[in-house]
This record gives sequence, C-alpha cells and structure tokens, in this order.
Amino acid sequence: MNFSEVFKLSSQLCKFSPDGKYLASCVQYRLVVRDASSLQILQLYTCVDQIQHVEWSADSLFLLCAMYKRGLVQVWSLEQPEWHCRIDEGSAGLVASCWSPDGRHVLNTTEFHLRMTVWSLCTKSVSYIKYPKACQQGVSFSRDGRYLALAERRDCKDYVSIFVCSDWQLLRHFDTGTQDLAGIEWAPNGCVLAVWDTCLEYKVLLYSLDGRLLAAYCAYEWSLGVKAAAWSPSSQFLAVGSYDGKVRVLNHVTWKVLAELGHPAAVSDSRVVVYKEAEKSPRGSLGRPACPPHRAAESRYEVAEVPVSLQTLKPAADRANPKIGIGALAFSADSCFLATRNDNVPNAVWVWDVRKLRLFVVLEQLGPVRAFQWDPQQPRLAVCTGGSKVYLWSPAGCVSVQVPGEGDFQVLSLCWHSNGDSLALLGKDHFCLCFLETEDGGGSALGPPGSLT
Amino acid sequence: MGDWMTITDPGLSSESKNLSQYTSETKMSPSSLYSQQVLCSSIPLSKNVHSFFSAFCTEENIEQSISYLDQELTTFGFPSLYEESKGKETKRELNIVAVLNCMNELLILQRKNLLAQENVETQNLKLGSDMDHLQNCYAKLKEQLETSRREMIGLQERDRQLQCKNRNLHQLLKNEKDEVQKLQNIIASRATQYNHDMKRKEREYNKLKERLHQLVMNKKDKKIAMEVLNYVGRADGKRGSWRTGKSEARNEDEMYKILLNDYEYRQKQILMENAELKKVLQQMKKEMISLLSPQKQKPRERADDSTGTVISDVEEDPGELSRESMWDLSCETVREQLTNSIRKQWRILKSHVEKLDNQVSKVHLEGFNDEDVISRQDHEEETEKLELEIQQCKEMIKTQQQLLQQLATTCDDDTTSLLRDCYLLEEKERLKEEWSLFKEQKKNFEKERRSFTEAAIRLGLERKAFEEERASWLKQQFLNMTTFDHQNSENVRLFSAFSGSSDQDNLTAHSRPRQKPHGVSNGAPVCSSKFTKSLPASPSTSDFCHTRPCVSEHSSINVLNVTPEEAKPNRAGRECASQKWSVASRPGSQDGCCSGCSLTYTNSHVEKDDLP
Repeated sequence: MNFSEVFKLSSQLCKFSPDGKYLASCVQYRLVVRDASSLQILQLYTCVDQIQHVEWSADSLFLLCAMYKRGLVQVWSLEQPEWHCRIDEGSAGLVASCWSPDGRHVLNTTEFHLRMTVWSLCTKSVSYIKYPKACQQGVSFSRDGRYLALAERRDCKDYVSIFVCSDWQLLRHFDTGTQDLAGIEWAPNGCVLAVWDTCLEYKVLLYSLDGRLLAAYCAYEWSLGVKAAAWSPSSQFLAVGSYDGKVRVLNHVTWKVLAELGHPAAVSDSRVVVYKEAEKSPRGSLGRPACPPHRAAESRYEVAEVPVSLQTLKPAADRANPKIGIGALAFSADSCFLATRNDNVPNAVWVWDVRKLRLFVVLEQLGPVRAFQWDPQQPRLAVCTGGSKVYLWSPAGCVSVQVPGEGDFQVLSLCWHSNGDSLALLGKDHFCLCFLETEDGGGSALGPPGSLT
Repeated sequence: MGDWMTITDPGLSSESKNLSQYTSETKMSPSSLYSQQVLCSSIPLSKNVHSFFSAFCTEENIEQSISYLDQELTTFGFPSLYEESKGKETKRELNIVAVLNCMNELLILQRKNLLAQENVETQNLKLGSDMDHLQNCYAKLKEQLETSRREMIGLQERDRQLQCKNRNLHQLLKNEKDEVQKLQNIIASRATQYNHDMKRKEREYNKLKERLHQLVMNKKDKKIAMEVLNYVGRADGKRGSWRTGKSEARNEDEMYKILLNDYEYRQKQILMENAELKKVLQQMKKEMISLLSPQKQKPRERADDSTGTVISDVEEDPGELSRESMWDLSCETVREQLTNSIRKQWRILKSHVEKLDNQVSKVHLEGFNDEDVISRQDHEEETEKLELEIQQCKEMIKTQQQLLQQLATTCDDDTTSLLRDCYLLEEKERLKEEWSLFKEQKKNFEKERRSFTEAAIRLGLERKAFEEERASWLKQQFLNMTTFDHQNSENVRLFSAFSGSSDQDNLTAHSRPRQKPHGVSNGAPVCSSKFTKSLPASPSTSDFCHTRPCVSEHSSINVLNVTPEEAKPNRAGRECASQKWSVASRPGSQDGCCSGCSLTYTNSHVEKDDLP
C-alpha cells in the first residue's frame, strides 16, 4: 500500500472521472485535473468564485463547477481547454446542479425549488420542470441513463414524474400515497422505483417503470420510520434502514421482508467476528526513529471474544434528527455483503453476509465512523473515522493504516477509483491518494505504513 | 330395737367412712396398684367387721342378735338361720350350716359388690376423664370459633376495604381512560389542525412560489442565460429529435420493451432455477430408487398393504423416467407426480434409515458374535492354507533328507568316495545352507502365520468399526436430507403408518446375520443370493460405495454449477487479499463462498446490467 503526497483541497471536492483516467479536485476557485495514476496536473481551470460543487459528465469529457452563492455554473471541457460554458441562473438562484446521464445537459434547481432548468450544451433549447420537491433525495436517474424520476409536490400531494432523458419528454406522472415523500431511488436494473416517506411514517412504495404500484411496505406505525435505503447492485434486494435500529431486506419477487437485521449493542453470536480497533502499545513502533511523530498513536485490530458490547450513544430524545437508527447502508459490488451503521452505536460498522442473511463481521473503531465505501470491484470496504487512519476490511481480514504525512491528516471522507486500485482520502484542506495495487510488491502490501512514494 | 339402732349407727357410719376412705384411696391410687390396694383394704375391713360384730353382739344378747340377723336375712331372702321347728313352743335351734351358708353367700355377695363397685368406679373414672377431655375439646373449639369469627370479621373488613379501593381504582381508571380519550382526541384534532395548517401554509407557500416565479421568471431576466463558446455535439453523435407524438409513442414502446425484457429475463431466471430444482429432485428420486431397489423385493414378497402402494409407485417410475423431457412440461402436470413419488420414496427412505438405526444398535448389542464368525472363517481358511504350505515344505525337506542319506550311504559304500569327496563336501555345504535356509523359511512362515492371525483379528475389528461408521454416516446423510421436507406434516403421519412395516423389516434384519452363515456353509447359493439381494445391508458396501460418490459428486456439481464464475475470482481475490493483509485474518473466512441459486442470479444480473 502506497500513499501519494498530500495535495491541497477545499470543501472536500475531489472526484475521479467515470472512466478512471482523471482526478478532479478543487482548491478555492481553481479546478485541477490530474492524471489518476501519475497525479500530474493535466489541466487547470479558474472559476469566478469558490467552487461549491463539482461533477464529471458521464463520458468524462466535461466538468461542471457550481457556485451556488453566485447562482452560477461553469462547465469545462477536457478536450478543448479553451471551450467554456457559463450558466447563470440570475435572481432565481441556484441550490443544486447536476449532469444528465448523457453529459450534454445540465440540470439546475433554483432557489426555493421553484423549478428545474435543463440546459443543453448541444442546442439552445432550455426545458423547465416545475414543482420539484425539496427533499432528501428527489432526483434519481436510472443506471442506464434513460430515465429520470423526479419527486414533485403539487397541491399538497406528492407526485413522481418519469422523464425520458433523451428528449426530456414526460413519460409517466403519478401521485404517490405518501404523506411527505422523502426519497426516491431507481433499482439498478431501471425497472423499479423505490419511494419512501418522511421519517414520521414508515412507508416504502415500489413502483414499476410504467407507474404501477408494485408493492407497499410498512413495518410498523406510530414511530419514526425510514432513515436510509439502498438497492443491491443486483436489484434483488432493497435494504431499508429505519429509526428502530433495524435493516429490513425486501426481496424483488414478492417485495416482502426477507430478513430483519437488528443492530443490538451486544453481539453474542459466536459466528460473528468482532474486530476491535486497539491502540498499539508504544513498544510496537520502536526502531523507527525516522518516522515523523504522529499525534495519534498507531492502531491495529484485535479479534474480540464474542459476547461483546459495543459503545452506545444516548440520543437526545427532545431534539430533531435524533442520533438513532440506521443512517448509512451500502451493498458491496457483488451484492454479497451489506455494510451498515447504526447512528447510536457510532463507532461500529456492521457487515452482513447477504447470502446467509446474518451478521458476518463487526468493526468497532476508536472513533465515530464518518464514512465507508465499498470497493467497486471486489468485496472490500474502506472506512474512515475522521482520524489519520484509513481502515480496510475484506473477508480475509481487516487492517488499519496510518496515513503518512506531516501533521495530522484527518480523513473525513473517501472515494474509490473505479477499478478499485486506488482510494482518495479527503481531509479538510488536503487530500491524498492511497494505492492498493500490489502486483509487483508481492507480500509487502502492508509494508511499513510510513512509506512515501 | 331403738337402742340397737343407736348403737349400730356409729358402726355403720364408721364403715361408710371407711368405705369413703377406701374409695378416696382408690381414687388417688394409680391403677397399677389398684388390686394390691384392694387386698390391703380388705384386711382392715375384716377387722372392722370383727369389731363391729363384737360391738353388735355381746355375751348377753346373742339370742337377740341371732334373731335379728335371722330376721334381717330372711327379709333379704336368705334361708332362716334356725332349724325348722316341729313345734311352736319349742325353742328354735340355730342352724349352723345355714349360718355358714349365709355367711358364705354374704361374703360372695360382698365380693361381687366390691367388684361391681370397682367396675363402676373405673367406669366413672373413664367417664370423668372423657368428660374432661370433651370439656377441653369444647373449650378449644369454642376458642377456635371465637378466633375464626374474629378472623372472619377482619377479612370482611379487608374485603370491604379492598372493594372500596377497587371502586376507587375503577374510578381512576375510568378517569384515566377518559383522559386518554381526551388526549387522543386532542392529538387527533391537533394533527388534523396541523395538517390543515400545513396545507394552508403550503398553499400560501405555493402561491408565493408562483408569484415569485412570475416575478423572477417572466421579467425576462437578462441574467438568466447560458453563455457557451460553441455548442457541442451530442454524445451519441445524433441530432436532437423533435418532440412529436411519434417520439412519445416510441418512448412508450421503449419503456414497455425494457419492462418486458426485465420480466422475460426474470422469467428465464426463474425457469432456470425451476429446472435446476427439478433436476435435483429427479436425481434425488433416481438415487433413492437405486438405493432402495434391493429393499423393494422384500415387501413385494410380503405383499403388505402399506408396501403395496410403494410397489405400484416403483412400477410407474420407469415410465416417468423415460420421459426425459418432463421438465419442459408445465409445472402442474409434472409437479404432483414428481413430488408425490419423491415423498413416497422419502418415506421408504426414512423407514430404511430407521432400520439402519436399529441395525446399528443391534450390532452394538450383538457385539462380536457376528464379527467373530466371519473373521474366524477367514482365519481358518488362511491357517489351513499356511499349514498346507508348511506340510509341503516339510515333505520336501524330508525327501531331500532321504536323498541326502541315500547319497551318503552310497558314498560310504562307494570306493570312489575320495574322488567325490570334494563334490560331496561342497554338496554338503550347500545342503546345509539349504537346510538352514529352509529352517529360516519355516520360521518365517511361522512368523507370517502369527502376523496373519493378528491381522485377521485386526481386520475383524476394523470391519466392525467400519460397519458402525457406515451406518452412522448413512444415518447422518439421510438426516441431512430430511430438511427439505420438514413442513410436511402429512408425511410424518404417513411415515408413522409405515413404521409397522419397518418393524417387520427390522425383524428380518435381525434374523439375517444368523441365517447368512448357514446359507454359506450349506452351500445353497440360491438362498444366500436371495438374502444378499433382498437385504440392503449385506450388499451395502458396494451399493453405498456406489451411491456415496454419486451424492457427493452431485452436490459438488451443484455447487459448481451455481457459483463457478463467482467462487473462483472470489477465492483468488481473497487469497490475494490475505496475502496482502495478514494483520487479523479470520479463521473460517473461506466458508462463505458457496451458496444457493441467488448468487447465480446476482452474477448474471450484474452481467446483464452491463449489457445496455
């Protein structure tokens, strides 16, 4: 495992291009495009203001930089550096901007969600979509880029519109039986749309592409409901995490619950392996005087004896958005594993074996888990806790790696390269790349954590 | 007469006093001393009597006394003390005999009276004690009554209190319920109000939005614009198409096509899964039939009611099997047949497993008997063989010795011995060597023989162990297979109906090992072959050896079929990963790579996703 040097970064804006060749990062008002492997700067664009959002087009040819404060979007071309495009939303304001899947349209949401503007880079045509709903996850493109599902709110009722992305024609428009729709998400096969209601009510609805209601699911009533939902890459499962600290896995045939995965703070199943992060004793790091002094001690994982009780957080019951329930969940690329985080056990990541529908591994960190992401190629999970370490888990085991560098590099977020060979570690003001490929290195993958390229 | 009375009075009173004294004495005395006391007391009584008499009768008044006594006695019905006088004038004579008789009678009477008195007294005592006891009892019961009465009053009081409390609680509950109802109503009204307000607010918000929209958008805001250097081509290279009814229809078509594709894909997947499962079922059936076929002949002979159905099932099996294309048929037609036959087979198998179970236990019971017979047979055969060999060797040695002797004698006789001496010596040496060699051989044979007997014994033991192991393995195998038909309560019921026949099977199985050696020794091949054929246990080694790899092969094929593409890279990845990270590796992490059909779906789905 090798680490790149540390580069500057602002607002954690660092993205690999979809084709995996480039890496875009933002420093204040500058947009830097590097080669993803050599990290040499290929292009440097200057925007008019501090960039707040950056996004690659699907064909990796264009880059979109949004400056919400100014209501401005600037688009850059990688092929023609002199080409530029600037979209000004003027007094309407701007709160969100994204690419359409074809990479030739920019979708801007104005302030107060008055409307959505579809700007085309090919023609002068501009389309407007009225009444987009201001919610957690109101826009969802299908994986094949054909359809856009958009949550709308009209006359105090929730609607979903399905547009054909090729010509922005409305294909279907139907009202959902939700109180206050909170999110929509296409299944990866693009045939089923999952819709879930606000946290006040547990309600998951599944619509077919043609607007038919396939199924409605409600696990319980009179309590806080869905907090997060995720499709498995195979479209076979929909995992719904809720405020009661459980993940319910729905199947794609009957849309009934396959399993209820509880997240108790006490793990008692002897088949579950609990990896506990432990600070390394100072004796372990002897004989490396050249190593720069880290503020945080090195750590390693220990397999804990199985009746384990995890650290829990007592949530404040009188505040909004209490820190309870399953706030994050993700399937591995092969759909074999499901990683979840229970917000009132902030230090732990649960990894479930989807084939057996039971708990497989629990990682207990020393600090609260900030983010985790699966390797897009293999079942490998990267976790960060806001400390100077990055943690990797695979079925073979797990490891904690100190990010080298001067001072304290706090990994707040991370993102995988599309081939799974490298991992961008994003801190507050810096980022670095972690290369995992070890074809030539052989068994020295773990190596000394302080090795610099 | 009056004088006497006055005189007698004290005496009588003294007697009565005495009596009272006596009675008081007896009253006081314990019962054990009672008789003694009586004896003792009789003495002073006699004395008293004596003194009484002395007082009553003096020298002077004998006559009067006698007449008085006579009178008294006659009034009491005793015979007169006087002799019957002939004449009235003559003085009546005192009849001593009569006096004595009277005395005796009096004494007897006295004794009787005493006895009666005693009895009465004891009875009196008893009654007295009874009385006491009863009085005690009465007192106690009275007390009890009193206490229970008090208790009752207490309880009644408590009951009253509790009832009071209960009433209060009921009241409270009612109040609470009312409260809850009220609160619920309040909540509901609040909720409706909230919703109403929300709606109103939202409407207002929408109005404002609309207004804002008009204000912002319709003003022809010069700022709202896109500056672009030049328009770029579409990603697909085509020109944008106009939005027309045609395109709308095309979009619809496309959508339905996508949906159809998805459904078709899913249907195919399900069909594949079904076919796979059917195949598994079919194979299982075949295996079961092959496994159970030797067993079938027996029930057929017995022609039991329960097994009759089995036979018919078996007979229709080949017909079914010939239709290889049966999984192309729709489910309804095939499913029932298949599941039914499988169920039947399963029942047979279960009974068979039970039988095996019994056999195992029986083997445990019978212990070495069975094994001994077999091993001894082999053993004996082998020893016979060895002995034969030894015999042959011995004979050879003998003949050679004879030859040697002959040679020696001829040599002695011969004059040309000297000439041959060298030869002879050489030969002798050679023979000696041979001799020793033979001896060694013999020794070796002996050793071999010994080792062989040991080996034979060991073989017997091993065989027994193997038998046990096989039985347990089979049992386990079938128990493992039980999982797929668990819910079928009907099956269980029918199985219990089958258990009768299985018992019979057990009986025959019991009789088999005893019969088998007979058959062999008698040299009746028909009989023995019948036995071996009809019973699954005797040809089992070959049969099960045949089926075991079949099953395992099948399962492995299954696994491989399901996850061939997945398992390999996965494992490879894992190995590579384990190479990489050796910090904390999981002991049993490899086990997760094989699973059910869902994975094929997963994988193929992923592939499918990549296609468009």
